[in-house]
Amino acid sequence: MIDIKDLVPIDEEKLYRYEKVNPDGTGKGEYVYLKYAPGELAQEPTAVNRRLLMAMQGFLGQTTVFNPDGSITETNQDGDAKVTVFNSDGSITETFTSGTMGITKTTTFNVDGSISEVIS
Amino acid sequence: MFDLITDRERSDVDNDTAKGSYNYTDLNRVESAVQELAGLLADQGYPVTLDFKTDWTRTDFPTESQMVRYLENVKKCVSQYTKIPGSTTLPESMQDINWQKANTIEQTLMDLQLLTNNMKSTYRYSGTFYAGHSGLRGYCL
Repeated sequence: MIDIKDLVPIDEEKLYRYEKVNPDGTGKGEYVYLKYAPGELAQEPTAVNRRLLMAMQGFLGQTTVFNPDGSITETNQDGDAKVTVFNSDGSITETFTSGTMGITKTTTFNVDGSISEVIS
Repeated sequence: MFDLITDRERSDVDNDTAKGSYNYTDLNRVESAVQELAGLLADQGYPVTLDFKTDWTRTDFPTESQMVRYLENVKKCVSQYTKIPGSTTLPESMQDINWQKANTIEQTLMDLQLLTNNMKSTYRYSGTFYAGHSGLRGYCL
């Protein structure tokens, strides 16, 4: 586990400040103010922050249901769901769905002892 | 921004103005702000589990335990998140609350909201940078 700490500026007038530097990286004491401006976005982007990085370490609220058919449905606090199905051929299919988007991982245990994981 | 009161003065107490006393409206204002702040913090990965009472009335008489909870809510937000270095320390208790302490409680909430907003403004987003990259925010190859 790693405790993730966000950048928390105190001065709201320096949020977009960058310092000009010399070629060796030493500061000139001169500042410019820049803001990323990609225009209209097609979808809400995911911030790379404490919330995300702690979630990646397992700290995200979740409900797990063991279904009658043997599959497992894990629904996180954002409403996204991962369904794990244990197939009759021994492989495992995990499908993560968020809104209309989905991603599937099929894990196959091969006869030679290796494991194949295919994303689709 | 939260609509809080942070500018109480001695004269408010001396002249018995609306800001010169601490009553149910102050409790509701602070508890509502704490509730909203707790939601903001939780959304950003700083979960704070608190109990709230936002329907104080003129005839309510807050118990000591309720006032402990009231102040602890603010302290929990600070301890779970952060504070502005050098900012005034929250009062130990609500016993003998005075105009300065009342200001400190609400200023602390204002500070936490400012810090939360500042933090959100500096977030970087997936797909706009690479690991180990130290250039301008948002720059990518």
